[in-house]
Amino acid sequence: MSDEIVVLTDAVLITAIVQRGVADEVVRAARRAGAQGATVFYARGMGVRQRHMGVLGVTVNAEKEVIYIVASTDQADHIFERIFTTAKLDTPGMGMAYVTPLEKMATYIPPELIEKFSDSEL
Amino acid sequence: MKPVATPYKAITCFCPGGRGQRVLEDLRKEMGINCAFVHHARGIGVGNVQEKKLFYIEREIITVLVPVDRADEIFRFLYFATGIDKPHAGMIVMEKTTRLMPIVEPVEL
Repeated sequence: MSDEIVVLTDAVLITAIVQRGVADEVVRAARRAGAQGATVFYARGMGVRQRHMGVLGVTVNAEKEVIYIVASTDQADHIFERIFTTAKLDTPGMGMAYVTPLEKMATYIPPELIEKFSDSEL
Repeated sequence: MKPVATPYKAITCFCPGGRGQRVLEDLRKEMGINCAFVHHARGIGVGNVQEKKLFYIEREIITVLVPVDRADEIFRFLYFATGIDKPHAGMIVMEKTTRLMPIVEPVEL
């Protein structure tokens, strides 16, 4: 195994905080929009909507799911839009999503792929 | 204590489940990084795609704040320590930070 790291740039991290149980549908939509993968974990979150919506704020569940998706800058807007519509983030209390730029990222890249691109650059 | 605009970077590592604790200990022993955290997650990627089914595998997310001058060194260390250099193991990303609380270690008595 080589000790070189191929660093990728022009990537963004899309974070979506959605109601518990919604994440699977959001991930499915993101993958259809071109996302290569997603990471999901549970969290607990409250906000202003908790107080003001429904009786005693029970309309908004405090249990949330957080979705991390790393995507290229080119695809980010499209994936973000799909997440927004699938998770119904235009509805108050359903959650939020944001995009943060990444300075660099690294993952395993097959050597034949590296070779192919280094050849095409020459 | 006021937040300061210190040149720090945030490194986030998405690695297979069960490696977090060991990597945190290695970070402390080999890199001298005493402050990092790890939490569980589930992940889907190109390595575990199934027809129309979401097939998640266990993941761990390690987050660490590092000074700018050591960021590349620790990025590299984490890349190999977490086994991300192997296929379908995960990825590592680095982000800028704008404000953070300075990390002050407890004084040894």
